[in-house]
Amino acid sequence: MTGAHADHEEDLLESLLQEPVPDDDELAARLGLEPAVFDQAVAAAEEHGRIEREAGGRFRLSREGRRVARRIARRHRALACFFEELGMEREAAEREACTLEHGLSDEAIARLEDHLRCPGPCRERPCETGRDTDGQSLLDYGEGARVCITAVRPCGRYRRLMDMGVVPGEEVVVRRRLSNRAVVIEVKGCEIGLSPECAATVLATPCP
Amino acid sequence: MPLKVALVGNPGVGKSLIFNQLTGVGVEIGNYPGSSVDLLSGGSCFQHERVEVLDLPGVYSLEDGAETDALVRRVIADESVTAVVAVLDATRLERNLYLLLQVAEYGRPMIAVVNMIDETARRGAAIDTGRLERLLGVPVLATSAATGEGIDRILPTAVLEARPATVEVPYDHHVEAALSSLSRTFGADRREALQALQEIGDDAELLETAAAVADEIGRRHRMSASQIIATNRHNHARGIADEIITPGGGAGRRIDRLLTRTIPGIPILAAVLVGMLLVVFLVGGVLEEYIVQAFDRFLMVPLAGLGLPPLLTEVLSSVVLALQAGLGIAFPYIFTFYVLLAIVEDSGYMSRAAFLADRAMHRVGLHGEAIIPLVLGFGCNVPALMGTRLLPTRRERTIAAFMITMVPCSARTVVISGIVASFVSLAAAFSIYLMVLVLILLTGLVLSRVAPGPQLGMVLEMAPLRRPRPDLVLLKAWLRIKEFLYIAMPLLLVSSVILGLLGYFGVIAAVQDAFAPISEGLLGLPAYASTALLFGILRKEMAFETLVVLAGTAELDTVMTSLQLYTFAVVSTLFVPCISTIAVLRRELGSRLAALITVYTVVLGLGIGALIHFAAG
Repeated sequence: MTGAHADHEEDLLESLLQEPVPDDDELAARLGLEPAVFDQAVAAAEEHGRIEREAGGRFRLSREGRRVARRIARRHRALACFFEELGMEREAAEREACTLEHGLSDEAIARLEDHLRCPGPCRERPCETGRDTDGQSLLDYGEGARVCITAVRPCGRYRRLMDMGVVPGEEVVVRRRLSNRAVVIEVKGCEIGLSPECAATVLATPCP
Repeated sequence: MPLKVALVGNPGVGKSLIFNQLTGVGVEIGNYPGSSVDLLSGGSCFQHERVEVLDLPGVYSLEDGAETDALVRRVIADESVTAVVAVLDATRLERNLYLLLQVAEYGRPMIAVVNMIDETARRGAAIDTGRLERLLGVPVLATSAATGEGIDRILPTAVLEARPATVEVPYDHHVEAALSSLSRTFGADRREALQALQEIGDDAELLETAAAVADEIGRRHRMSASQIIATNRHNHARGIADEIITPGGGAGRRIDRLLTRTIPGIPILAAVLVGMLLVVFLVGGVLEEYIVQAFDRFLMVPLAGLGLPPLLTEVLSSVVLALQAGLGIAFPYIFTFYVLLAIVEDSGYMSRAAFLADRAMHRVGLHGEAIIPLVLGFGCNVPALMGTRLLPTRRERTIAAFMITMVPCSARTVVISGIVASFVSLAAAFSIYLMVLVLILLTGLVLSRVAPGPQLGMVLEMAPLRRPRPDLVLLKAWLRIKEFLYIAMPLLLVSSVILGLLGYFGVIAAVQDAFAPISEGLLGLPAYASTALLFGILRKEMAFETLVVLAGTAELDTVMTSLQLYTFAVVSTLFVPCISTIAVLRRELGSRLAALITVYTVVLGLGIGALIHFAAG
């Protein structure tokens, strides 16, 4: 199922939390969905066992559906609350939360699923190589160079780099470059060795 | 409730030294409930009450997502821990404060210990601990574990004066907004919410929502939420460090330049490794002889003379045999090796070695870090396999496990030296090493191809070079050998008795007959050699001892040809890891991989043995 379909299903579930439950047409109108898309969302929700049809023909959330819907509503509230904290008007915050909630990219969702499947170090993603177009990395500086870190690509072992103090804005000195392209940098008074693929993820400019 | 104090800190801050001085003897290595990461604990006394001291593994952060971090998080959050002692390295205070700020967020009673204070004084720097105390809101002690200064004040201060820190990192306003939103909608406290934004926690719903919020923060900053959080913490740590440190001069690093240059770095690395093996070889050989002789003279011979019922004699002599071989290997070879290894580690050389070896290790799908467990394997495969936990991915752990299982450990060294070096030639003995090393490399090369996966790269702190302290070196070696004895000894005793009984009831003879075709046909070895190989599964060096017993003479060259002896040594070196190794493989990587590695080594051992037999015979 694509991200958009999942979104429509989520919208449907969330709106079914409201009492009284509107009829199909009104529901589709409220969600702003084309009839065909609406039917797809209904089919998906039914397939997941999240909604069931009442005797009167209206939809009702199943126990599982109610659980999912509550979860969605809570996420929605948290996002709205986040924007409000940032000083947005309540209504604008609600709107932003709404679009944002579904603006969650498939990648973000996939990442989250990855995380739930395997918490721990396997969350670390390898870096794609050959994408160093956005600036010079630590690999491009000679020994003794004093450089300022501009960005660290969020992949590979960036968590460890961050914890060692390799964060944007930090001033570091390239201490050693080995023939195997590994580098030793001095950061916060400590020397750390980086293998080439890690050094390539740290972008830096010469210090002013 | 018993008093419990936990030591937390970066790797290499002198935590172990402090722990050692606080607890004295009676140190235990154990697992924290629900975790497989080892934890040191020891007892101490304060005002007639027992205080349990926990030495947590050194970490750079509580939120790295690694297993060790998870353990440290759990211990800090554990309500039964009376006080958390955050140990800081005075010479790297800023980065150490980064960890302390994370610990402080737990709101648990804590104190801070600024260790290596003498080192800063030597460099002409000064640290205002009074000021630090006010900034953090917890008691701060200045100590030097090397000289013992201030160590005696740690327990009294921890037990009586520990309190939750008042220091609070001001985060970016987006992060703060996220924190209060998560607290309002989920009731998550500040620390839980911060961790949830970094994908850490147990509440799936909270994580899901936090991920949505973190994504939005990331989009607005073009920087991930965890990066922002880390940067905020680092900046706050710098602010504190700037306020309390009066800087001095730097330390020299001339030797370091030599060690981390390709030339002479690589030759030095090779010399260090070969030198270690040679020392183990020489010292171990001499010591082992004494121990084996002592056992024979004071236990074996008297036991045989007692005239006990044969079954009882069999069982008792199996027990003595297990002790003899266990101690005869453990102390002379493994302990010597661990002492040398501790010297190399404590001097700070290991990280230079890892750095130099990075590219070579890359070829076999590993990183420089993996050289540490691989070298450890020359002592004993068991702790080496446990050392693979340091590696970042399961793929790397798997490749390393395959390779380590093939590394000729000290027990296999006994077989090679006892059979080949003694009866064939020294050159032949070295050729076995060479052959095994080539096979290890080939295995790594093939595995790195067939097991594609992410190569995350290596980030390794280059700890300053130090002169190792003899007492610490011995302690480290002792703790390691203890771990080895705990795991290996019970297995040795049980399996030795079982094998003794099997022999007594004639089962071994039946097995020998069954394996005779393999032994004679495939490898060109006498039938009893298969029994010796089977005993080798128990402990590798037993292959040698059993062979001597079954051949009926210690002069093996009178009953077997040089080629047969050579083949025997190669096969027993390669095939099937010993029973303790299999047990650890199972624990670390699961039954399937343990079985796979075992089968692989059997096939490899028999294959190479047959190859030698048919090519040379």
